[in-house]
Amino acid sequence: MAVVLAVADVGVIKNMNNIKSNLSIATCTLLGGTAQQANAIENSWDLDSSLLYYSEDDDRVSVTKAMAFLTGDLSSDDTVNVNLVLDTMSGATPTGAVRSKNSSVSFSSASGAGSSTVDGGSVDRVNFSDTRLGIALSWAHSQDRLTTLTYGGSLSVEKDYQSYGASINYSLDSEDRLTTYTAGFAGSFDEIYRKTDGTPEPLSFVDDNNMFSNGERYSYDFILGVSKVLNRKTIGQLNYTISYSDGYHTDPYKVISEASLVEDTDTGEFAWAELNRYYEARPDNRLRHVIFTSMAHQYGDTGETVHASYRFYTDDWGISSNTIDLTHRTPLSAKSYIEPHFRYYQQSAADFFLHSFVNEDVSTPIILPEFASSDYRLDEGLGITTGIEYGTKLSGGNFRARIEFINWQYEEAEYDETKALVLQVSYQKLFD
Amino acid sequence: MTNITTEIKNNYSLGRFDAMACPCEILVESVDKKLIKELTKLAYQEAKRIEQKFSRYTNDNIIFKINNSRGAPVTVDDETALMFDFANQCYDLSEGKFDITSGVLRKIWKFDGSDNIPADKEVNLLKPNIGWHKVKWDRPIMNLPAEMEIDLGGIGKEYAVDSTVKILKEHTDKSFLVNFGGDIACPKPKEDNKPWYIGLDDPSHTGEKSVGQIALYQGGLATSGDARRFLLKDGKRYSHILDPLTAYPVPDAPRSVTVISNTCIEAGMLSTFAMLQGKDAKDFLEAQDVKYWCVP
Repeated sequence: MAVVLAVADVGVIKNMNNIKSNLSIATCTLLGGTAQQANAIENSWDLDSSLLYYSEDDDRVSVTKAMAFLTGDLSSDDTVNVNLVLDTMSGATPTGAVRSKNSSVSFSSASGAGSSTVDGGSVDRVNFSDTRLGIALSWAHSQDRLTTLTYGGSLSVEKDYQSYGASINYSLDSEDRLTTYTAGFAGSFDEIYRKTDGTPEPLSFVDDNNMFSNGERYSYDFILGVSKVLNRKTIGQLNYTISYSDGYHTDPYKVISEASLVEDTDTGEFAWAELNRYYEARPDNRLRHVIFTSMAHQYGDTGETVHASYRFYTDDWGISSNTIDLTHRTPLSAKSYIEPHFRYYQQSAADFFLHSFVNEDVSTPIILPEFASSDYRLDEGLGITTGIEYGTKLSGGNFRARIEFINWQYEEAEYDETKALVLQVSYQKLFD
Repeated sequence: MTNITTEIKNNYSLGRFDAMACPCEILVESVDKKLIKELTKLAYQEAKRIEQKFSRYTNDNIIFKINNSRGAPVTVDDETALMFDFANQCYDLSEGKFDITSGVLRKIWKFDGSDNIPADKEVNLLKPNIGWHKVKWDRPIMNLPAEMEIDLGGIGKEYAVDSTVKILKEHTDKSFLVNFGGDIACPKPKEDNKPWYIGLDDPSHTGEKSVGQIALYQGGLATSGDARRFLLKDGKRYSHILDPLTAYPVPDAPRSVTVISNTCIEAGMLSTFAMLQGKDAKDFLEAQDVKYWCVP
């Protein structure tokens, strides 16, 4: 038999807001001490999610990147990071071939095997689309009060590229906690291939379609670093990284033209005419050094922050680069800020970078070097980034929006300018 | 002898014992063996002292004396007087819903997971024996009408936690945490402002599943809930939170409410008050400007 409950309308305590403060006073009397302050947080997981759109002008590459970065404490000694990236890439990318403007020019092949007709202006770039999924996990464990060991693992998968990595990083704080020393090692294994499988024989004729097996590459990075609190408002950092990679470094899609500069008899302008096309070839190892230093300084009453960094890079392919990065954050209110960004990047060309195999005398066969690439990314270049970020605190999270313009100028490459736009919105959710 | 054990962990130490019918723990941010032994012993002594003094299950303490006074006045010591003053304020603040004389209801409401719902007749019989306003409390003299009982079970454990914190603070500068059966307090954060982590039990899977982890930097934490204490009849769940005004369980009370506040006893009162609000528990907690977790 069902029991009928005498559910009276007991009502809600009328003046709810006074309860806690009155209770605090009562508690204080009971415990005979001074009132304490509670200080607690939820289990401090936060999720940073972001959507980035990158677009190059002239219908070149566009990338939509969805990122999620989850970080949280498993215990007072253990922190876990999970990083997920999904890239959708599409557009047209330069192949390395010359832009053959005029398809009507035809030449006799140097080998005399017949005529070679320039196949129009479309092959200097190729349309592509791909999707990349990247997953990275790391686990930081405090060994004791001053030392932390971080273990990491990563995986990245594309239709024509796979990468697996693992890392370990040791960090040691000084007794006064003002200085942190780090030492780390990372290893990765990459597998590189064309979507149709295999990699082309380096410096073979594209038309021959000579394919080798998939490319494999092992990379090892060692990093040493120190970061130091210089004073209450300034922190500095210095890192040195040495990396060695061994294996397949060539881009299996990139080609290099054997070309001749010819005059268009109608317009009187000179244009490149392609005689032959080869797959590129890069060395099978690379040694790199990076020195990175940065400093953040807060000043003023409202907490304006300037962040400056300098990076020097050099490798045994002949590329050296200098990067200067500056941001300046100005709080607009207690909740929001605005942050202009400027970045200067300059690099020298790789020793084996060539615009093309220039053959002025069409009748003579050219002598191929051991390595050659006309990938614009290996050319001498200058990149300038200007942008601005706005961030604001919302209830339960932080919102950021960023716009950036990037302008690349290359010295010799067939595509000697790239303009790109970056738009990014991010939301960091603090679990409550 | 006693059931005290101590352990040295990686970067903290842990002391354990049973008191007040629950497992008790002391966590200290130190790996000093001597210190954890000393602090655990002090905590044990304080927990036992309060248990002895305020338990309704013994026949030689002040509570027994009052409950068996048959209406005669009883003079109480300072500490007991402070408890009654506090209970009096809680009664006022909760508009009569928190009442230390409501303990007699346990005679008819046995929250053992069964379907033994008392008859209305039984409930009505007991109602006259409930009500703090019928008590004559004129510090330091307590005059409790015959047939009525005082039960400090709703305050005692939380009070013991805060009282233990007070004692341990005099013996160490290290950060520590006192946990008496889920009623918790810590007086200051760990070094480098790091928190202590506290797992929250899922009320429907006690001890098996945690609904979350809370980082407690400093303050008190208490949970009110009916993990295993409930009645089930015709599919209706009766929570063990009894409303002294109706002598019936509070309808639609949350399964559990956890609150972080300045002290353990404050957190305990706020979580109990919230449970007493039934379906309005969340609104009540929202208005208090405290951290809380409510499992509906």
